[in-house]
Amino acid sequence: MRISNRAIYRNINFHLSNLTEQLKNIQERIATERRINKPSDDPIGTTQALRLRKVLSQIDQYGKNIEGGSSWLKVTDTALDAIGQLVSRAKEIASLMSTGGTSESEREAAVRSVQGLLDQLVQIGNTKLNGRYIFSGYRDDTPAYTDDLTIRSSSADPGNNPAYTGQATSSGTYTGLYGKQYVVEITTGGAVGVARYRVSENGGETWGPADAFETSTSPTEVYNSTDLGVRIAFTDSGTLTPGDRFFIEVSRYQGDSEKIRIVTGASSRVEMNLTGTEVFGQAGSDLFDVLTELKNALETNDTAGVRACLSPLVQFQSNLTGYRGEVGNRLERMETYKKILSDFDLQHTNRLDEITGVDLSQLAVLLQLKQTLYESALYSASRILSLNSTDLLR
Amino acid sequence: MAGISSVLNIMREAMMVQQMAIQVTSHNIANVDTPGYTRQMMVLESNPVLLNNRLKVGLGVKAAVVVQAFDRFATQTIQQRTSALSEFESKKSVLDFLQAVFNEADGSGLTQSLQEFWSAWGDLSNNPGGLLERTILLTKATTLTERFRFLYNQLIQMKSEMSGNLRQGLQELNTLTEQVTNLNGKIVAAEAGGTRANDLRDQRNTLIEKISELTAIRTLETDDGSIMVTTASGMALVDGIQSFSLVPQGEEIHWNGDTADIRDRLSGGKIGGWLDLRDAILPQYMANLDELAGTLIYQVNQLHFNGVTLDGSTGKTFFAPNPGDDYEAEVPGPTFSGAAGAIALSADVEGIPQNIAASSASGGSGNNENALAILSLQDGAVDIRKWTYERGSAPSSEVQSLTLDDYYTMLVGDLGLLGEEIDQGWDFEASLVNQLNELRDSISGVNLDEEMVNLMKYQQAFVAASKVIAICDELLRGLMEIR
Repeated sequence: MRISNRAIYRNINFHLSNLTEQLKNIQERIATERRINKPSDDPIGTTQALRLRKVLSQIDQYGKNIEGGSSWLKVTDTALDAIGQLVSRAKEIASLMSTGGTSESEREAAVRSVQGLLDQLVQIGNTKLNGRYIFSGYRDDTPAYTDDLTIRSSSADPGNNPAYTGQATSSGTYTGLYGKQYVVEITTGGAVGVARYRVSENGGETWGPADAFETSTSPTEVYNSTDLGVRIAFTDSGTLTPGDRFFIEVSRYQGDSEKIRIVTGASSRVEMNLTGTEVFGQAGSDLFDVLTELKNALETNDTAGVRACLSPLVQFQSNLTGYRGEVGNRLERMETYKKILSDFDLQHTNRLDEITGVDLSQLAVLLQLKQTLYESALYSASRILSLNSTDLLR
Repeated sequence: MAGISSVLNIMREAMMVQQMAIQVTSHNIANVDTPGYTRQMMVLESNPVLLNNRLKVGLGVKAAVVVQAFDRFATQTIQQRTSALSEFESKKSVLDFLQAVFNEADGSGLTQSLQEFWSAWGDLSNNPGGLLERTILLTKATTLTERFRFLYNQLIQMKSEMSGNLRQGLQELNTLTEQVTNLNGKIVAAEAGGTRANDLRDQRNTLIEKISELTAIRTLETDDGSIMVTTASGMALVDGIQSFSLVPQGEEIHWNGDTADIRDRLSGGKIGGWLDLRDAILPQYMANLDELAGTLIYQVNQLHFNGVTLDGSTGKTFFAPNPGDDYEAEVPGPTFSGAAGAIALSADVEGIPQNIAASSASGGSGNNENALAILSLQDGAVDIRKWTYERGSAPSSEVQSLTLDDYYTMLVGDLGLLGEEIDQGWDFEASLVNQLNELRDSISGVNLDEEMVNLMKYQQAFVAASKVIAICDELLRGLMEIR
């Protein structure tokens, strides 16, 4: 084949610039420690790497969620432990005082102790983590328990008849000693002023006489046996139907019964909180009521009353053990998740490294090889270019 | 007439012919590095024989013609492949730039902004009432929208750069076709006498190669030596001494003052590459980015609209603009065109972290259900259109069911595949053109060694001819000395 001088120059240029580019690519890979420096270097690897990075960032997020959940559960556990000790103490006092023959001063000391336990219980109930009340359900910005019993605003039965479009509002000053769950049930239908209702004081277990009270736009009585100052007022709008129910809770609890869930995986949500109702019991029979009862029984030297407090306290104690077990289980599950996640994290990081990372020693050898090639190409080019027939032909 | 004077004549002629041959050789040597130069050769012929008393006596040499060592096949193939090569070249540089802009190689592009956006929702779900978490979410969302707008603006800028390139490319093309017509005229005039206008042809070939860098063309040489140039689709650019201009008119391109848009009839070369980029590749990425941004806006806003803020209100949007979506009727806007360029935080939440709707119902700052619902978008497949743009046909789309993250991953993957395809195409065409050039140079290129040998050959012939003249001189002198 004829070789023209132009071809020699072009060839030298073409191949030298090719080698230069390869050198540059190898150098780039070494400098960035990445095999893929732009998507076209390996499109499939790029998309795999993107997916892996997404998974890794999710794992990171799940890890954070679990970390948060774990500390929540640990705080819950500490609180449950404190409540347990408190209940034991109350039980001790109750059993000590239930035998009778105790002196006035002993009883007074016991009353003070129980009052102290009640105050302590409110404090434990209002345990906070990062500014959130852990026993308040979704109302984590509100303390779970107040020092005194409060009449909560009334709420309508979810299955309530929509014919009544007004609202029932609770009011009054509570004069009772214990929590109560009042239910107002319409027994005679009609507009406000015509309709009449009956009342339950224990969430609908037992009822007062039907048609005991007339609905009114001004606050009217709500009670079954004793008037403890709870009132209800209806706004005049629409018709009330027999069976319509309105609930008024008198309790120390200000939270709700919602469960806060955290994300621990792509499709796994874990309940994190225990609500006040779960731990401390329903209004009317919650731990506060039991302790109040104990206190009152001690004040009135009612030994039978004191003894009666023992069995609910034992019940609470076993409930608490159950909840502590539950919390322990959840914590253990969190630990397991954490371990699985860290395994996952390691696997995915390794995969990502395999896909995007470089083998430095291999690259160093390759670089050496290309460098040698480049140098020999330069050398041979200089030899060829210096060949000149004009020096030889004369 | 035979005899010494005849010999003298033959030798005079021979010396002139050898000098001319040396001239051709020196022309070759002088042009050893001239781009597009085709090696020339002097064709020698013996003069017609003189019949002298039944004896046929030769009458010496003459210079018949100077020919070019021209390889028509290699030259035409090079023209074609040059178009393909420069098309790849123009696309390669843009694709390299695009990949750098998307910057997904180290995971610091839109993917990361998206991840951080989702993570911020995750953090918020762990503390739905937290102002810090809310503020961080707004910051991350702002970064995400900025990332979208940055990408979109880069694409727009790149598109307008392509328009600028096209205007310049067409201007260059018009200048080149005009120059070809000039040379056509000169070559026809020069070759009318039967000689070949070698150097003019070289110039013309160089110009035609430049034209084929701009767009794919076909050439046809007519008998009178002029060349006809048409686009690959058969649209005339040069016919004899007439050239036809291509003029940009807005986005359109018009032929020779015609009003019809002939963009679809241009392919290959830089112009074809720029047209592909401006009218298909870039708009497709913009449309798909719009789709991603629009779907993100719609999906997040729909959930956010129905969620409850810290102060218990509903009906707040998270992202702007609201592209004609009806969140209550769950009707997304008919088109998301321009969404990626406009996406921003809505006025509802911008600077008001309390207005982020993390809850599903009022009455509890610990309610994280809406934050969880929005977070589920990260792993939930949604219906999302994928657009395909092709030059010469209307954009089409198909609905796919993908997560937003996967959709973007797919876009990056497509970008990588296109980039790889173009890189490989470029590598192939570049080495092909190099080989073809080598092939052509093996015929048309100048080899200095060869020329040196030729030079010596002609020199020796010249010296020999002078020697013959010297002998004739001696012979004549001998004759003169006869007394």
